[in-house]
Amino acid sequence: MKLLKLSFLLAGCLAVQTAQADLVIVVHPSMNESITIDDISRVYTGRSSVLEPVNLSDANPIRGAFDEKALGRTSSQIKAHWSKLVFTGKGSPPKEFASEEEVLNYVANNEFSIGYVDSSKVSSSVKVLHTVK
Amino acid sequence: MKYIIIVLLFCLPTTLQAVDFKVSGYGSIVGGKVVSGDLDPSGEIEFQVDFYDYAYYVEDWAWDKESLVALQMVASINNRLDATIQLVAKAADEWSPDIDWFYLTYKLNDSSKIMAGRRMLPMYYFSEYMEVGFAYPWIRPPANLYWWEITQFNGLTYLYNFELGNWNLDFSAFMGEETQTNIKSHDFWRNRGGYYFPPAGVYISGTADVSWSDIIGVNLAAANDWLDIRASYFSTRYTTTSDVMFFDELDSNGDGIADAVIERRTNPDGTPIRSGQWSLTDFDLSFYGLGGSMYFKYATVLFDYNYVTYDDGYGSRFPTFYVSAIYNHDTWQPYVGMSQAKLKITEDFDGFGTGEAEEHQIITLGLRYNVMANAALKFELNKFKDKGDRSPWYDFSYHNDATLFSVALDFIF
Repeated sequence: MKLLKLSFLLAGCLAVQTAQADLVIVVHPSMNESITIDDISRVYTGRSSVLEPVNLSDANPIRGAFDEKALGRTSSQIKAHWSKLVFTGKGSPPKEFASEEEVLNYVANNEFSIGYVDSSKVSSSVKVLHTVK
Repeated sequence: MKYIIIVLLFCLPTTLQAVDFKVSGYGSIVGGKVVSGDLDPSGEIEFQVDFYDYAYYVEDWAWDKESLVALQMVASINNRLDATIQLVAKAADEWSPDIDWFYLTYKLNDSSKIMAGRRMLPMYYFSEYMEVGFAYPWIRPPANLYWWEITQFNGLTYLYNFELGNWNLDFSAFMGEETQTNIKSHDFWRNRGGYYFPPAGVYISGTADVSWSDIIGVNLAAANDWLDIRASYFSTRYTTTSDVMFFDELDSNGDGIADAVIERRTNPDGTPIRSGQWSLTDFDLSFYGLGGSMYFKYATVLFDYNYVTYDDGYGSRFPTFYVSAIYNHDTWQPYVGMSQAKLKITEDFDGFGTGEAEEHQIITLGLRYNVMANAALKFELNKFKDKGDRSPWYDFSYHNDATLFSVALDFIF
């Protein structure tokens, strides 16, 4: 029961944090193609492979905000979707990084990759594609 | 031996540096208890949850019917070839791990690949991942639809993926075969009159061997940002052999009326009498299905319509469907569902008549609570109703009405 209460509390904290996040979607500086939010949603749900998406790990509150605001589904729905693809051999989920610095570093060094970070963390090594409020 | 293989598989990544390994897994701890219902012929109030594994709940709590844990390993042998193995340990098999799947995936190009080996048979909308509880809202896909003895097959699958405007399309063609031996589920059908119509109160035990040969089929799946839809078709040769029983009617005084009935189930050496060359089923089966998911802002609707035909003397047809709606709150997902299955006899065989021979329905009410990003707790109530016992048709395969309460913890890693 204590565990249950604790998880409620944790879930509550996460909800508060995600509500405040303002995130930006970033690509390699050389990217000149126009990429819509729909394209991003397709890339992050395995329906398109034109770009290599990278994710933040579950522990990072930005992840939940991205899933909800950019992909329009909750993190657990996205997880359920990927588990279906993984366990039928039809796809593997995006690479995950623990920190936004790692995401920026990966995107800055991989021409066709796409990632997202909190707007306060963005650096000039990447190109900002969209701001998701 | 199995444990040695598992240990080896875990150690391999450290010894074979050149091969890229990915390990993931899923599991479910499921408990259930029948809360109300009618007695079935064996004297229990049963709720069938898994026909092919013969899993059912009674009025006592049980945790060993559907609980399982699975480990998937994908080894990238080179940039075109992957090997996938899935080990599944089920509580029903005393947690002894089995290699459920083993297949090789060869990438022909960016959009097409070939899979060779043992995989799930793409039948119903949820068939390919029916054991991955985390991937769907309920504790289990509707048990009166997902009842076949065969759920996997050995063979080849060709997959072609392409994009068309907003849509992502997946075409697959597959062929293969599968045989399952010593299936207990046939007790269930036979004891309730499925094949032999034994006299009331006669309860026999035995097993069956089922083979689906010449499986050949196609799937087409299309998805956009709110709709995911899938059409499937396959055909196969369905053969069953089983333990059988005979009733020898003896007429000692020759008046045309049997004076004694002798029941025979075993050979003189005590072994069960098998149907042998005389198959209980030996006909072509065709499967047609259309299923999908619709995603709205706060709700998801899932549906599946299926039609199975037997090329048997009775022209058996099985129209089945289910529909389910889920409300998506952040962490709470309440859901409702309804599934219905029917058997229709469409050809008059030897004056047997035509009509509806079986009909049952499951109504589901449940709640999924996403405890963590990779774990969900579920509570579910299922109400099973046998609707097939109306005149002039007696029930082909009687199921007792029952209500089941179950809880599950589904996780992935």
